[in-house]
Amino acid sequence: MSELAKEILLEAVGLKKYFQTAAGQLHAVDDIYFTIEKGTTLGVVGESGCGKSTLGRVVLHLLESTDGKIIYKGKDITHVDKKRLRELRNEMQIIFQDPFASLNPRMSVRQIISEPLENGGIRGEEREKRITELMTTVGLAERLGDSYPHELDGGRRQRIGVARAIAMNPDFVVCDEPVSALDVSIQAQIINLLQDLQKERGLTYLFISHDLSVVKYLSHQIMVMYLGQTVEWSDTEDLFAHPLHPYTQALLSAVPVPKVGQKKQRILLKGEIVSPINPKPCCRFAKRCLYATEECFAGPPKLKEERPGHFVACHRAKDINQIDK
Amino acid sequence: MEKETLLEIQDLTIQYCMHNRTVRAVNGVSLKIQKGETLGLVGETGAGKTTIALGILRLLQEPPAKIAGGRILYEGNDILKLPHHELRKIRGNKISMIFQDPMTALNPIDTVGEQIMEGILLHEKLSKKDAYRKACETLEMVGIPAERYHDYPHQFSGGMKQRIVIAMALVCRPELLLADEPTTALDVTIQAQVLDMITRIREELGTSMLLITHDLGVIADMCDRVAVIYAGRIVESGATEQIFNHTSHPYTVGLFGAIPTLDMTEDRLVPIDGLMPDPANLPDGCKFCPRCKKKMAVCEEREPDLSEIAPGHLVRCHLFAKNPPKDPPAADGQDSGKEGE
Repeated sequence: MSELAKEILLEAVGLKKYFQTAAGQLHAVDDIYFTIEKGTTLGVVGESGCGKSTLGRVVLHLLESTDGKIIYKGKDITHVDKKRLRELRNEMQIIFQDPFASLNPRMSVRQIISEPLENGGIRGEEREKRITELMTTVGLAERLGDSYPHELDGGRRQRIGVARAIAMNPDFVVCDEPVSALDVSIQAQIINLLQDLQKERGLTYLFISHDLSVVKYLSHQIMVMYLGQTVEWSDTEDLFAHPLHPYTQALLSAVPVPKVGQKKQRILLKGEIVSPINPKPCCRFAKRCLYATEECFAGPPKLKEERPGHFVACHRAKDINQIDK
Repeated sequence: MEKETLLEIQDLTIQYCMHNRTVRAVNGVSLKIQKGETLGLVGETGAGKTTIALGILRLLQEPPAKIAGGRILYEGNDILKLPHHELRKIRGNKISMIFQDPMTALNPIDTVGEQIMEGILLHEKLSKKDAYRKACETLEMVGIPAERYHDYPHQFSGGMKQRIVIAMALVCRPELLLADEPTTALDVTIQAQVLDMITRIREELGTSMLLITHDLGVIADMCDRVAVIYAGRIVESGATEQIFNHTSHPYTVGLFGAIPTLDMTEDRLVPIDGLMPDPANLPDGCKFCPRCKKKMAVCEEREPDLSEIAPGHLVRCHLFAKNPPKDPPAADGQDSGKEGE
């Protein structure tokens, strides 16, 4: 990474989002800390239901946080008025997972891309020009401008989603599983597009995915979430070279590798993710963990820097990984 | 060792006839599944994978689907010619299917136990009590406590529901399992558990399997042989080792280039340009040639036949037709790229 990448664009401090349900309080996002440097990508991985998407939405104010702070360009934006929120919407955008559900079926491609421009006060010829430019940028042929989403395939639809997100030249984009609904040959096209846009425009991404290979490929830093909490957070290389948390270790070992004769020793976890409703004050992974001791059931572990720039929340990280004190 | 063929598909052609167009979903597919082996069927959305699996069990809605030609030989009989009552003896008994989406494959208003027991009562002459016992055993086999027999699908998590779907498929100890993306809807750690379980049970029961997936990682892990399907055509098939280490068809090469892997070092993925052709309007020549980087003049005119480039390794590509490559593994690329011009 270049020296320029040192400026911190976004920071989350103890971010929490609880939902009130009939069965109790659902801790979707529970005490998340992270920073993202300008022009880089923070990958967020975890299994379905671990709070990844909720986190993305809380950061963008699509959901109000329960507690904690969001700091954007050095300013606290946790509580902002409507006017400021409108401005922020131009700077912070999102690409949704499902290109079939996130586009209005009654609007043509040009209309969809034009909406954020209109909201940003860009009118008339200037707007038409910008729409055409955007379509070129994301690789949509101009002739498709009057098509409707149902006439297009998943890859092209996701390109519309990308064009819409970058229409107002945002600084920060949340990519919420942008390629998981696409076939592999198309997936690669969108991944390359996102990468090019980052290079050209210095975009900062929060990239949410359950696909570790995709996240590894795109991210500078990775945060692993489990039941609403950060279990591990570090540089991509260090995370893959030295996963410290037992959950990360199991997760990495579970990814099937497209190579023959390379049988990996899989760490098979017992059981499944437990309910995030009224979680007990202990390590949330303890029940499935191979190394859990009494200590793990007694209290929640804190996120600690066990290696330089490598944070892990595990009582036993030192013993398991034989880190010298 | 000589292996016995369990199921043989010959030249299967399936179309969906809509009022004004014919979607050619499966175009002359031939496959062989041997006893005890796992055959992987890889391809993208719309390639015809699921249609083949449904066709084997005659579960297609006819019309609009129409099996336009071919034979599916099972134990010497053509499944396509069997009368309905004979078919029912095979479905769920000799050949059974694991569906992709466990959320929709289960009946929400029956307990999971009843759904598992249904197959036993249909196919085996057991008393209700014995059937109940067998259903409970099968639940335990897939790692779900028998006490949960009386629970409903919504009380289970996604991974457990998929285990129940697998239990339903296995309860009559079938000879052949058609698994249609059995773990696509699951998280990786759960996927690892389920794949591990399928492998273990298959080894115990000696079941053969047709595994349909788009995940090359799962294929590498589970399959003995692989067939790659594109626009309803098998474009490459062979032993898993041949497909992965001597990848030959430009489409298969493209698939491998397009996926990011955990140990990759390249800075950029190589997507396959363009899109899969509309199955209602397939090109005359090679189905892949509009997207192919090694396209030649002949590709547009005539569809290539399958050629055997190594024992058991078949490729449908003009690059490999007639003149078998001098040094076989060199097929992956860079140098032969110029031929297309």
